[in-house]
Amino acid sequence: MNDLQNLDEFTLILIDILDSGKPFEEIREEIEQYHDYEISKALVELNKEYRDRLYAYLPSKTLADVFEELTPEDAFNILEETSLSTVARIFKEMEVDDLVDIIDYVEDEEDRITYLSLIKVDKRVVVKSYLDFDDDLVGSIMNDSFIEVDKSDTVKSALKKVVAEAPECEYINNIYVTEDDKLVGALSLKEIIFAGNNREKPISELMSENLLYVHPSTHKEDALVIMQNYDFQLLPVVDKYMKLIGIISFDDMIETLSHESEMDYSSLAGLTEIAIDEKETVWETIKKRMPWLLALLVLNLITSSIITSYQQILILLPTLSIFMPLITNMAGNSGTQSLGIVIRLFAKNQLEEKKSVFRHLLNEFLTGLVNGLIIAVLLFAVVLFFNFIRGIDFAEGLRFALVIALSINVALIVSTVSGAVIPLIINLLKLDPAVASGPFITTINDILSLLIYFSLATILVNTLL
Amino acid sequence: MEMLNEELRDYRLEIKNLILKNEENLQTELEEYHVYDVSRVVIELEPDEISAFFRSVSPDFSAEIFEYLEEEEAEEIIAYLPESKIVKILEKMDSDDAVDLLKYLNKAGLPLLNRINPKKRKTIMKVMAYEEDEIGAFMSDSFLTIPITASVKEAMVHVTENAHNVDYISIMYVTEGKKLAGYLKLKDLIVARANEMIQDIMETRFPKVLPSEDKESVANIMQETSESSLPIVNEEDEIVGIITHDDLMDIIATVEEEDYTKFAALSDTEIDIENSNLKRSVRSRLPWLTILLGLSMITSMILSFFEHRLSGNGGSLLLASRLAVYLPLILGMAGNTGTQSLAVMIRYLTKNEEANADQIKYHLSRELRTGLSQGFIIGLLIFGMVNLTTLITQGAIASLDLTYATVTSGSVFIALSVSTLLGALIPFVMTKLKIDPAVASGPFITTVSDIITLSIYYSVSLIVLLPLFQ
Repeated sequence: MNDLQNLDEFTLILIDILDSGKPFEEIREEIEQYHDYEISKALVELNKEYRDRLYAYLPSKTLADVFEELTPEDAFNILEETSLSTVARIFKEMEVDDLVDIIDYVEDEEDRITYLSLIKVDKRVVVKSYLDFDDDLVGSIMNDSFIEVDKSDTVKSALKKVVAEAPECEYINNIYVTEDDKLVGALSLKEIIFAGNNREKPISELMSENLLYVHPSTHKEDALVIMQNYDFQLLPVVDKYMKLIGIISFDDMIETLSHESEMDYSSLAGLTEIAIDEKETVWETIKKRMPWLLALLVLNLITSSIITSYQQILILLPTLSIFMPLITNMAGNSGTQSLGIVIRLFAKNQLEEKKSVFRHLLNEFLTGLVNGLIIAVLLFAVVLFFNFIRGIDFAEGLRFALVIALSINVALIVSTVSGAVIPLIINLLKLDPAVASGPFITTINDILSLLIYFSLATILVNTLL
Repeated sequence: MEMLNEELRDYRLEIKNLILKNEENLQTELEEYHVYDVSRVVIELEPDEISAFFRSVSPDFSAEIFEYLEEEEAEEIIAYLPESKIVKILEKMDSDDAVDLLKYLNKAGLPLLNRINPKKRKTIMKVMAYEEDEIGAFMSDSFLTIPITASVKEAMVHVTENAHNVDYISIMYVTEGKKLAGYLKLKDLIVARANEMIQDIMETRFPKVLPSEDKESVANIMQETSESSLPIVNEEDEIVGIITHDDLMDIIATVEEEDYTKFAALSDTEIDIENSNLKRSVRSRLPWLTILLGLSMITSMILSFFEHRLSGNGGSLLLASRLAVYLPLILGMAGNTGTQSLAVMIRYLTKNEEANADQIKYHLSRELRTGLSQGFIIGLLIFGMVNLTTLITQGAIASLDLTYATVTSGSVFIALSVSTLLGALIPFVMTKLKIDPAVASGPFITTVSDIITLSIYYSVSLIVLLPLFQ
């Protein structure tokens, strides 16, 4: 209990009204006579018990107005002690700017997402856009269109609730069972209907207690994996105290699915955004692509400077340049392949453990080795044949083919591994993952393969002279 | 999420213990868990445990487990089961899942198929006849139909009696004679008054598809209409199956994965760390690499042709080496722009399959103008850089060097414009030729753009620069 002496005058009046024992309507009217600002002042001073009683008397709209009078700090402190269903009720009526202020104030990431997820979907989109919010989380797509029954319900009373709520509810296949707001079970509508002959049977006997659920802070990708594996249409979302606060449905997940591969696509292609507008102008397209191209241009200058430094060898052995594009291109291709895999594994959160990273890199190395060997043997034969047609001395042609084959072998191993390692390093250094895009990897592999090629060629030239 | 994983593991541990104890009421106990978890435990069992397990549970329950198994996992398990058992399980499985398994088993599946009861076999053969990308291959035959003449009360009794036999009851299909006349959501049925007629509460305007329809376009319809299931009808408008939300998710996931992996020039459509091994990754990559090697050989042939012309004397040798300096840069930049416009257009075509000629023209012209502008900017920058390099290394810029810089940057301009347009054009041409545009991968476009860029660069140089260097 607060010390009554220090309370504001109106707070005392309010306590008196609440304690008066008058009928519900009368009390409501008496409270509503006062200004929202006065009620908000009192709200800060009241203890939890009186606050909860006050909430019950006030309509959502008035409550929202009262909260809008509070500073974000006070509002948050009070909301923290308020049941989530009441918070949802208040949020429903609050203006976007006030919601942004309150949620912006919440420091704990987990709580922030939970609060955000309590706002109705259409409003949430607007609120979210003002906040620095991670769009990858379940909280951003959660909705409250679900049917909830109590553990103490019977088949009959549960069915009654279903019938009452069905018109408002998008999907009613899954019905969630709660006890003191906590999620304790789930059952399908099918099971309730099938039990229809036995109307007094308690729900607790029908429901399944082995539940799968997610939190607002769960990554959408992880929720997606669960829904795909278990063929779920809906997945319940609970807060850290196991309170059922919402669901995610398969149609939201499908958007996630498309969005994810869009992102993967963009990074493989080296674009900030892959989708085009129906009316996109040339200027808009250029704005999206040019930054990448400029960065790549700078990186590409390295290839030019490498060749400049080997120019003497090129003059001595002009044939070397003939296979230059082939080697850089093949290195780029295999790098793109292993990058394609890594991007996907990242998206699936499958590279979080050290062990799996190590295993993956080993696999990439071996793949590069095998592919490199096979491609090298093929190329060796082709180059030998090529030189034969061109009428080059056999011994010289053999050595030349050997250099090409060896170069492509080493280049493929290096590029396969680098396609996997570079994104991992970039991730480790917490740099922009977009840097590990297809064109970047290709350019880096150009540089590496040119170095390999010319180093080996130098040896060849030295033996020839 | 970590917490979640641990809980998953717990369920599986409990399931495993139940299976190993193998008590009288095993199946009842297991029904408390999700079948997917049970299926994950079953594939980890020892051979003798597998046979014991399937002896203890009903064919119905076994079938449910099999529906959650990958084909290769199912193949492993049936090796330990007697043929009669497998047949019983197949009979209880959803036809589309049974077909997937039988197709995977190939010849080994034939004797099984012959022993399946005639009615189920007929359904299976029907589903089998559909191509992999036709929606018929995904359809399920587990749904409820209600005659149009029924009252709400009669329909409710029908649902209550049959709910346990049918997987999907959220939407029921109303038939008039044999024809599909409408559909009814379970939720509308339970809120309706008992004396109302189905006729009056059913919906008559709804999408339906033929089994031969393409799976992607059906997925699009489902997404656009936000339906959680769609009826599949034959030419006579009789309902033959339904497609549900989980099929939709599978289809979209596969389509997206296929497009993406093709773009990365991989043949494997399922990227998962669990199933990655050396054999699989080599098999997924080597075919593409070999094709691309063949394509890359063209660059060598073209270059060798030009080198031949450039090997006359010291001057042309010098030119050859100077051309080589900017070769990877030009090829790289052209490849990059090509990859960008290719990716954008493939995505555009996947999302807008019915784009009309005007829209296509608009986007092609936009890509061309983008290519021209970007080529101009990059070309200008390269012109500056080539001159700067000459200035630093030689102290002055001769008119020969200026021409060299002009040719290099001019080639960049042409190459970038051409490969941007090419990247955008290739998917359209492929669609016209009825080839899946996604086959045009990033590496494919870079290789093609290499060939073209190289030809442009060396032709221009030979014509303009060679006389000057000799």
